[in-house]
Amino acid sequence: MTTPLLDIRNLSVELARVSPLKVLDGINLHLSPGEILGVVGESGAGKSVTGAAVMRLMTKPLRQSGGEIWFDGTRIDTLSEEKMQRLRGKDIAMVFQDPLTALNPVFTVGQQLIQTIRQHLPLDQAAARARAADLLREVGIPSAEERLENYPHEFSGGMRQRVVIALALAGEPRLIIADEPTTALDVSIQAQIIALLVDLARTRGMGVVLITHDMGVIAEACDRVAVLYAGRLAEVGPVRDVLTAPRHPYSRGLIASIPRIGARLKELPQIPGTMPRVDALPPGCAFAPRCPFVMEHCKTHRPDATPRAGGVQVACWLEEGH
Amino acid sequence: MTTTTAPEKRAEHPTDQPLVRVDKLSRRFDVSPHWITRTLYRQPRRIVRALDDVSFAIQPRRTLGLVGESGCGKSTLARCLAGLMSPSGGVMRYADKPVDLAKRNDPKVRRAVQMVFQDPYASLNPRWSVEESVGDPMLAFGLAKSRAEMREKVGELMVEVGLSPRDAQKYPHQFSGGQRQRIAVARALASRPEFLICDEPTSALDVSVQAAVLNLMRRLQDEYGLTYLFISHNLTVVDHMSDDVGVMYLGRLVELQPTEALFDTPRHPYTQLLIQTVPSLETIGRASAPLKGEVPSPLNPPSGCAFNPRCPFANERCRAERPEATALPGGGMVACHAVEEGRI
Repeated sequence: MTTPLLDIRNLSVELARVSPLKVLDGINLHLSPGEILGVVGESGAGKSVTGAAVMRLMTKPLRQSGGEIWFDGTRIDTLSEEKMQRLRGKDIAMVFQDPLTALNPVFTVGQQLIQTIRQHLPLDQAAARARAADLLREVGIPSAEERLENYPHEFSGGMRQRVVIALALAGEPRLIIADEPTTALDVSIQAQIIALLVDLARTRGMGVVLITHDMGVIAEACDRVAVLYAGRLAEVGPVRDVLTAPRHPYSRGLIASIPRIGARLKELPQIPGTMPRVDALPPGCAFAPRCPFVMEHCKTHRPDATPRAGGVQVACWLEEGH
Repeated sequence: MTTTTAPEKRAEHPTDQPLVRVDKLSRRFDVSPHWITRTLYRQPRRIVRALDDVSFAIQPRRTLGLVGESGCGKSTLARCLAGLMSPSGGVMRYADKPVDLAKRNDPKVRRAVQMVFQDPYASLNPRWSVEESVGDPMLAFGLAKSRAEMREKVGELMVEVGLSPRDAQKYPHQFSGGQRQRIAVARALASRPEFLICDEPTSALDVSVQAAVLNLMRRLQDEYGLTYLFISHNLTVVDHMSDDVGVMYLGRLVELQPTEALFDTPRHPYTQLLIQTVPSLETIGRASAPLKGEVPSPLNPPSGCAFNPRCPFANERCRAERPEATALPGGGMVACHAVEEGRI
């Protein structure tokens, strides 16, 4: 096997308090170049923290408490802040949910792009400007040259998100972490942005971590998907396996609760209860209190994600004969 | 739930005629610059037609779903119907009587029409306990004679929406998003409404929480005999909840059909493209052919049919003449020249 582009090994993040709370607990994920990995889960499951941990954008009181993060064969979670800064935005870039807050409202899009390009690439003003226009064209913004002079508020929501993606591409990154990139957008615009990300991953051989709560987006865009629950990995595997034959009871419940066109159910299947807060996690499997298949063993022993047939990993005692 | 109270809860309206009827409802916003600026720089007045001649009817105890992208006028419509703003033209008829709730001259209908908003974080007063928020309409409309009676009724409603009566003493920040939306539903139900306008009630929620809130809304509809106007940009949710679905584009209703007909045989090209772009679990690994272009600015709408710049079937007539609503054989309407001429 070739070196994965991104390799998250046993990552744990805690909320530093008198008694620290585990926000992320033993996450293992890897990503190859050109691959799109989806990360799904409910609010508070640890999706965004995973992205922030890779970028080392976590603010106190959050801190990495264990595990390793490897990027292209280099361990990055121990790099000095100075070296990390050189990596961040250059080799690893991030696309945020809200394009209006991700852009500076008092600078033109051109100024922001040129500044970012010159930060990372040895280009003069004119060359950086040409490159900025190229980037806008690449993300599908018409009349790119003129649009460089516009301020963020002069763009529509979908176009603004394209600008944010162009900004992320400025340093020619090999990995993009997109945190809910289409959540603020309309369906038809969402489809355009997803198509753009897929296209960029395929043509540039770029790895993409796509964080979203929308299973439909995962189905359309991703190669593999990781389902997070209460800061732990519930299931990870190829999209087709996880979406059509989910093994973990949580992924099953989650997928069943999504309304489908034409299904016309009287009632949607729902998972009883809510996700436990990080300060009130049960001792065994975090999903045990809500699980329809819960066994005595689940209440006391925590399952680890173990490989199953077809490259799927599931953290559940069910198929392990307990 | 309790069968003894059910008859009292139910709203009695003849089921053969619409409870809500909207006729050529329009809402214009004047977004012109200040008159001094206009005279100095010779700028024209600018009028946004946020809502343009929208007509539909909802039968009692039915759900009309409305879909469309941001800026298509969904929320303006909801606000006009709920009485949060007056329409600039057209009428809303409630139980066959013309009403304008924004004029505050019809307390009976004001009580009967309630709204559930999108953001449960913004729609509840953070300084009011749940009891105050939910109980206020009861006191305002004289549905509870005393605080003690109000307290009791709030407790019943809390149970009805799946919370505990003790939760009524808490404040909004002590609840999760899904619980807050349940409180917002309880608040809307407090005045014993008949018609509930739900503006994106689940779009701020996680899917598993969304399922619970949608199930709750369905159960309450059966139990209280509620009529819903269900607005969402999420087609799968609208398909699940609605009996009929209307599609809006740039302030106009472009298609309205019974739900199954709309999703099985969409007629308007916009509806067709919208349904194709819905990301679904069935389309694994196949990014759907994205709909080109964007919704044009309502400040400067295209001539003729507003959809013509994005429409694959547009011709000269579409660019010049605005299509009017044509009735469809199965009930419903579509506003499209191509459909009318039999081109699609």
